[in-house]
Amino acid sequence: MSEFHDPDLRNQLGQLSGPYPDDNEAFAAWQRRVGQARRRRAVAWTTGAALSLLFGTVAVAALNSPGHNTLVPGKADDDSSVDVSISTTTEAEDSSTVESTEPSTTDSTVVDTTPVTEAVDTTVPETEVEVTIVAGDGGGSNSGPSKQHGTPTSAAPGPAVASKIFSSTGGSITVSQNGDQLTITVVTPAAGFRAEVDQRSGRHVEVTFKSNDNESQISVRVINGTMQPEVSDKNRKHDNTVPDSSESANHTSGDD
Amino acid sequence: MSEVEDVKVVATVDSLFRAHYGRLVRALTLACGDREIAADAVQEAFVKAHMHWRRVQNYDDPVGWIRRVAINRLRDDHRRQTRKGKALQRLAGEPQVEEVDQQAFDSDLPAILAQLPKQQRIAMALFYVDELSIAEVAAALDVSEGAVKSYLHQGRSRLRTVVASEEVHSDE
Repeated sequence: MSEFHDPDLRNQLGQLSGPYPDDNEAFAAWQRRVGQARRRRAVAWTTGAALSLLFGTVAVAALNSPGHNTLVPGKADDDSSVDVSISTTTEAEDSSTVESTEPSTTDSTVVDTTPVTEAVDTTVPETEVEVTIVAGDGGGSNSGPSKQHGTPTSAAPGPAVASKIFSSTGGSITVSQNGDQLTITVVTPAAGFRAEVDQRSGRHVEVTFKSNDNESQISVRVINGTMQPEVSDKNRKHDNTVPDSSESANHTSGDD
Repeated sequence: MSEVEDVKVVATVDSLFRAHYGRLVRALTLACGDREIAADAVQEAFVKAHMHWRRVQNYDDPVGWIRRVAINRLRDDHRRQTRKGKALQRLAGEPQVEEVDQQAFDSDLPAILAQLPKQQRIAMALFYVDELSIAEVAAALDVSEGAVKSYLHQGRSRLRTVVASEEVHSDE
């Protein structure tokens, strides 16, 4: 028997505690609270899972975004022209055509690079070079082409080299001229087109762009010391050849 | 969790609820002086037991765990109410007065009981109403058995005078 055994006190305190509660009513109330707790837990888990999925998706998207660039040292050779561009670029950002302050001695070179970009001839003309260069398609970046324009402050004397861009429906090409010799430096097919270089260099160069429905051909020749393009767009289904004027096809002039 | 396991869990917690709910509510009613608060605390403890039953069922004394959860809930409520009352007093600029729980009973016994420290009241309630042993009360309060004996001795000494006088009045 415990020293604290006290039946009277137990009875008095038992009366103060009141009667036993209704078990069935209490049980029903408890079941309702259990149901509420289960729903709260389910909502919490669902919300947590949804947030985790959302954050995971955002993180993956951020890692795969074009702005998330990484440098690949192995591609450095492809960007040799970039060094030239950086050293010569001083102004004329965001201009597609750069006008020289000395037209009589100025040539401008506009080089567009794309996935089919070929090596850019970085030979420096005697007076002026304007370069638009895009880092090679390697380097871990999947960003689209970007341009940099620049005007060199000095150039070594040598034979004049001019480059021009000629466009057609199927794409555009950049042709450099060195005397009577033409060289295709850049071939840029439009979306859905593929390029076939028929004649890459010489006194006459020619490229054909083909898609399922259309075919465009750009042919450039040297006539009287200047490049003269001949552009034709043709619907392969209807076989309608629409020759363009040589002037309208000339996008960029380096001779004016 | 499979459906069979779920039914089994519910049945087990159900049996505990039906066996211990009434006693726990009565004991905690004496401890806190409010039946609604006591019932709410006990129900909450059983809900937690249900939600965590896979862990709780492996305990040596699942009912003891439920009892401790309910007591802790009462303590939290008591602290919250005390802080709230003090904050209101500070805002009103009145001098702080030790608050005494108001009982819904008319006799002197609940008034004296309300003046006992919280820990003593809970110990008295668990020992005399829930009929736990001193060791069980010590486990529920997370104190030593000696501390429980001290609580019971002090509480009983104060309440015994009232009980004795009421017995005299009833005999007359």
